[in-house]
Amino acid sequence: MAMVTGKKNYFVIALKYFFVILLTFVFIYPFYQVLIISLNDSVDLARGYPTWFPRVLSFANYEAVFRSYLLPRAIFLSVSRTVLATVLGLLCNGMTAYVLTRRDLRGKTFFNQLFIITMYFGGGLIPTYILINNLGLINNFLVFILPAAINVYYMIIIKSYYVGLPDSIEEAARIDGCGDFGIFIKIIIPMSIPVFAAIGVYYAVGQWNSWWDNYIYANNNELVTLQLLLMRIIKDADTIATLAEKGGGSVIANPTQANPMGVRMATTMVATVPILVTYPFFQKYFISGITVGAVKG
Amino acid sequence: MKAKKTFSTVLQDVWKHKTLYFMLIPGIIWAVVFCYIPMYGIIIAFKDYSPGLGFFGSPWAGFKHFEAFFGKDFLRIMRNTLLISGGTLLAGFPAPILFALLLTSVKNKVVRKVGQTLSYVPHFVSWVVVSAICFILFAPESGTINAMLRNIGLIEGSIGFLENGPLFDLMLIIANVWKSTGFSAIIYFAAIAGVDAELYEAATIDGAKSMQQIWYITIPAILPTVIVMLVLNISGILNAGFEQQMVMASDLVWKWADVIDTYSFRYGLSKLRYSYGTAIGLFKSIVALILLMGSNAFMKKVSGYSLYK
Repeated sequence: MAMVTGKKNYFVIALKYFFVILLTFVFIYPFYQVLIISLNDSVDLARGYPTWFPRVLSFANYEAVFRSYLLPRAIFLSVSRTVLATVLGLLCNGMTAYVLTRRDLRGKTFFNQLFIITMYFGGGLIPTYILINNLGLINNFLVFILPAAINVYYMIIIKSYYVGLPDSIEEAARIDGCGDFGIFIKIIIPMSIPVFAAIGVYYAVGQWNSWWDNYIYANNNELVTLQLLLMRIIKDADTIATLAEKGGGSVIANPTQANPMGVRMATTMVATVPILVTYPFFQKYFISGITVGAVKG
Repeated sequence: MKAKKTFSTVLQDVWKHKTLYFMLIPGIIWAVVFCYIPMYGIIIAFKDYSPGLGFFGSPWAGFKHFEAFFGKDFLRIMRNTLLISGGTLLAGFPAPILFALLLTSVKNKVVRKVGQTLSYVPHFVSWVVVSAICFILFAPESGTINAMLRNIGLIEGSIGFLENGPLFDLMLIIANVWKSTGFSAIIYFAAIAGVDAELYEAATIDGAKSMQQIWYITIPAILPTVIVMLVLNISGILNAGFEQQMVMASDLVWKWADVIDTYSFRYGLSKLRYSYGTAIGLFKSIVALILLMGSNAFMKKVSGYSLYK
């Protein structure tokens, strides 16, 4: 926005900059402190948390985390669920949205309603839990993927994008003998990359950050993703003991005197860094998804 | 004869589009399995469900579970729910509007861009990460906030921010607002960017100061967006958080931290009172639906804008 101002009031301008910088600091500083605590020697942490720089620089917390036998598996599971659910979600939502935008589909209103209703009313947590249990999905990797196959809200965003696409290319393809599925794969998908990128980012971030389904549906040690591992490490001291015992117990000089916060913050960084590193690249897709949804949804 | 003909045309039509219907199958299976079967499962709210007997076999219980809930914990749970979500609304609704107004009024493009980009970061991390952050910021003794208050001499000992019920609720509200402000501001950034620049030019010629421009041009222009967001927020008033409590609350504060969703989960699943938990979930769904419909009707009347098509 180009705001045109008359006379300059330097006090107001200074105040504005002060607040912007203050707020930005409030948004970012907590992450910075997590970083410096994770880089501080864990015995030294007993003297209190460092504010600006590590008092005693040490990578032992990270060594302890990375030596843990639980970590590689957790990373593998987090990456797998993120990739698989994103791909499946894009395919299912994209395909369903395509069918539902076809004007010549019989029963279109009925099928649309079938999905819309689920946005306003649901069975709730416990009936869903009983269902997941009856389907045999408890402690099953698929519990991360299958319920996420469709997200009605995302589907509506994709639908509103399709509506804005030109019909002519689709018709030309049909005259050339292309079937409905072929049109979806060869015409619709390539033309819809922007919206697919936005929804893909939504899926990926949601999956990476998800711990809740892991916690209630798949709580055995075989299926602990990074977020649940972090949750366990934060919530109870025993996990840190286990971590130390089977992993890098020797790395931390005096495990009994060590403050567990160091290891906790190192794990937090491991779970956060992938988001922070990829974030500058994906944020524009995230925003485009919001604005498409807000304008047309 | 005619009906038969129509029926056969329908069949022909469906057959002609069979690929489309095949493409719809995964979506329909998903909706039926993950949405409609659990909806059917709600009947256990009126039964004494036991896993061995199943949905059908479990004996009917009438409104027993609703009565038990309303007779016992209802008031406390509603207090917590409205306290946490009301507080979040009160602070968290104006925050992104003010943030967007503040940031767009800054001339320096780099500062604007950096401020906006960094403000989203909290939105992208999980509640587990946020709880880790809260544990260092709000911990007693060594926690950052306590250390800061001690340094400037405001307190002597330390405050158990996460160990005292009402204070815990306040911390939840702060965490909610911190996590959502930057991201919620996006919609207002878009609305402000859509304001006609000529209006500002005309106002400058008329001698309007920048504060006056915000008050008389920007705010009226974004008001429709503000109203829509407000109505949406109010209709979600029963969503007082779930993950944040589950990962941050301890036994010391559950009395104040339990909201409808967490209560339904903790009593329903953890204590294996499936029917009781389902009844509470159903109560919430119905009230939420009424709120949504009501707010939508209100919005239609006020602005002619509806959430549904």
